[in-house]
Amino acid sequence: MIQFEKHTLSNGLKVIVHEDRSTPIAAMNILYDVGARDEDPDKTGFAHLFEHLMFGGSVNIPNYDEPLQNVGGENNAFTSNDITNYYLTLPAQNLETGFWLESDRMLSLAFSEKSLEVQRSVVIEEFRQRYLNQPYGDVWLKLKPLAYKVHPYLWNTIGKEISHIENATMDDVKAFFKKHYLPNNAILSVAGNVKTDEVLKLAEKWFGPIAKGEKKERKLPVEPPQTEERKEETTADVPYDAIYKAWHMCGRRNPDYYTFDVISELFSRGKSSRLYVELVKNKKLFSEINAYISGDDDPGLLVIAGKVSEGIDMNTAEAGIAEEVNKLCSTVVDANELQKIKNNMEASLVFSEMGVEGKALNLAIFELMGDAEGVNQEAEKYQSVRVEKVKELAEKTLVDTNCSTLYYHAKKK
Amino acid sequence: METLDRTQEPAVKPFPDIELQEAEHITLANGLPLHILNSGTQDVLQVEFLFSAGALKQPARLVAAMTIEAIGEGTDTRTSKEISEQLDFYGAYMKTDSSRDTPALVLYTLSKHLDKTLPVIKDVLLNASYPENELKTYRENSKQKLISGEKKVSTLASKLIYGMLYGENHPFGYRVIPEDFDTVTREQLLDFHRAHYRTLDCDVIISGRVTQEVIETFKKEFGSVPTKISAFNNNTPAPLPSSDKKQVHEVPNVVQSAIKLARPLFSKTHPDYIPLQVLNTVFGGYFGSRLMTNIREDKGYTYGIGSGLIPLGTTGIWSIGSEVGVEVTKATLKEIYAEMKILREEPVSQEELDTVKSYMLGVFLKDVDGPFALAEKYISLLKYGLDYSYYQRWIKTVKTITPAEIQALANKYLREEDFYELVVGKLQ
Repeated sequence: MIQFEKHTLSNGLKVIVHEDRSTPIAAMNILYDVGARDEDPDKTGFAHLFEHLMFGGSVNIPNYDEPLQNVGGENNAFTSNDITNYYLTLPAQNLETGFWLESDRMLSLAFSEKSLEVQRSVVIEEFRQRYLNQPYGDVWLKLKPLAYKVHPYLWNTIGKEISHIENATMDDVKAFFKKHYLPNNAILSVAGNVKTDEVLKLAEKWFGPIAKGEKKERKLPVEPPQTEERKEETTADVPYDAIYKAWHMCGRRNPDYYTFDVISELFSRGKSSRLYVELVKNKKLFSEINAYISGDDDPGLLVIAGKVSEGIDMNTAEAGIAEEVNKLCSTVVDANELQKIKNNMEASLVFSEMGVEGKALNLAIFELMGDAEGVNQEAEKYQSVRVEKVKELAEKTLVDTNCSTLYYHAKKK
Repeated sequence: METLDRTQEPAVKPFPDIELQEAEHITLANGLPLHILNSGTQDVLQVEFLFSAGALKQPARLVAAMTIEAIGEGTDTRTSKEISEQLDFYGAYMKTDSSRDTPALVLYTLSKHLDKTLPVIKDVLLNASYPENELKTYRENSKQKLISGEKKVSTLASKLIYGMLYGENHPFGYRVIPEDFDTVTREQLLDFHRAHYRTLDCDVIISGRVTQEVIETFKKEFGSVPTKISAFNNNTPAPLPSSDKKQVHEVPNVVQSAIKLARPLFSKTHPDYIPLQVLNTVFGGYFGSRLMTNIREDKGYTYGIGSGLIPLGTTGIWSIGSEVGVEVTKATLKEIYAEMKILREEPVSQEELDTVKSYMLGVFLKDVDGPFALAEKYISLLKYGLDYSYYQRWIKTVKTITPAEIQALANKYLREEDFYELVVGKLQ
């Protein structure tokens, strides 16, 4: 249970505060409601590149990191399909330094040419390191455009291709900032050894004067229902074959989300899970196999990904997955097995609320989904998942016509 | 209304005194030492069984790592599936750490379920049976993971560098090869388990909400088990470094090379260890470090570059690592050596050093936030035979070290000729 207070400034910035006296530190989280899905299809990877530029100095403060390090603070950021999130922690008594830094870069950036030039190459190296220079690294570059045909989830946050990053101009940067980095497009949460009224005063002082902007309604193309099975083969210099299967599912705010999460956990949570016991241990078809959901705001994917055991052919391995999928579609899950998953979910939630950083992030994310209070209702929502619903959704969703499969072949020596 | 001067930084408040909660100690009737960090707001527990039964004590390659990694594959009365099921049902999780100096078994559980989950862990620790059919799967899958993992240049480089520094036959230097997983026999595992695990030759670190009931559960489960507890000893034989100090491990068709530079060092007990941590932070230990500022933020050669001190048994290494574009691999090496030279020849400015100090103290404050973090801090003392006075020395050193001392350390330890250089990928 996370207790908090919520307030909206006159410029639309939402502020959430959680007091935790058990720690000497404070965490500050600023979530901007902009992600890779908001990019132009010809300028992909931009939200993420922009996140890098947010550290290149702001209008009144030439260097973001140094003053923060000077007061004993640390920071980082991430970009997803849906959001761009910045977070920092510092000794609680120096919280105002965080307000000073974050409000200035919301006000305006320095827009330095040097920073753009350098961060373009840094991001290109990130592209190479994560997606091109490691085995199976390009899976998502291939799987997403197979599963999505029109929705922007068809590209990755890093971008469709390196040239999109190479071609980013300063005009693009400025336009992106103007459109998305607005107080009324952001949620600020603070958690830690702080006093709510003092945090609200600081928020008013540093963020209050920033002018509200025009927030455009998001109008993204809706992915039409998939009606035919999709398959793609690829070959790369990897040691073993692998299979990736993705089914379309609902978005994060849909009530069915919890049942889908339970389905993925039934498949692969822990060493007593179905896929591990049957396909890794008993049938020895895979050396490792996992199932997970993408958890995106718009309708996302339920994925099964497995590395095929040496000497097993791709078809046999795939048939093994199909058998487990069919079991879930045709037989009602034992109540005891469902209870195991629910207990797991309960424990995960308790563990996830151990630090102020995680609490600040969760509050902001749930506020974006509609109401920060949602963070305290998660346990109940998982507890209310029913065995009949698991079967019903599995039957409806885990069908071949809703599935995209990537066969990742190891190059023959 | 007064106008806000945004160029003016808010007043910096003095650093708070760091109050570090120390572990409490209980010794069970059979001599098993429990170290307790009771803190936090959540009803959770982390229980770490920390052993010194690492590679230094093993009779043959890989035996120590395999003994701990496969410990959950079955006991005299439970199959591996039953072990997992009985933990999974309560949302608990068992993790093994097969590090070469101090392997560990760790349980994460809600406190309220400890009476159900601890007996399973006890069974695993005392009665692991390494059934041959389970081992077969373990061997095959581990080989596959090893081979896949080494396709990543940075993973391969991290392994090879230890061979260069310690020698191919040293317990910390040998590189595990796929065949090792077949060579180790079930008998070797059972023997090693019997000698080190069944005797509970370990320290137990319990953190989270540790109530009296939790302690009673430990007494009940472990209090009367016969033990054979020896003094913690990780004496490490002298390394036999390679005579070839610059090596290139060619990998075709890569777009990036992994760079590793490392030099032999000592463990945390050495008086220079703490001051070197400050020098390391300046050099490559944080986002504003010399290496990051030059090689990422100025040149854009890499997504990240960093350096760190790694203690290992009674020895250690100082290591620098990065993944960089093939075409700038040579240029990156040149810049790394140039940054070493600058630190040897020019004192850091007081301003830069002050930033590093504040940063390090701030990270320390975060590192002692929460029960599991407190446990980590204690475990890293236990592993090297240190006590809490180490952290008092740490704080004092960080607060008082001068630019002149930093420069003297750089001249002693940051010499190009002491470093071993490895490129995995291409050096054009």
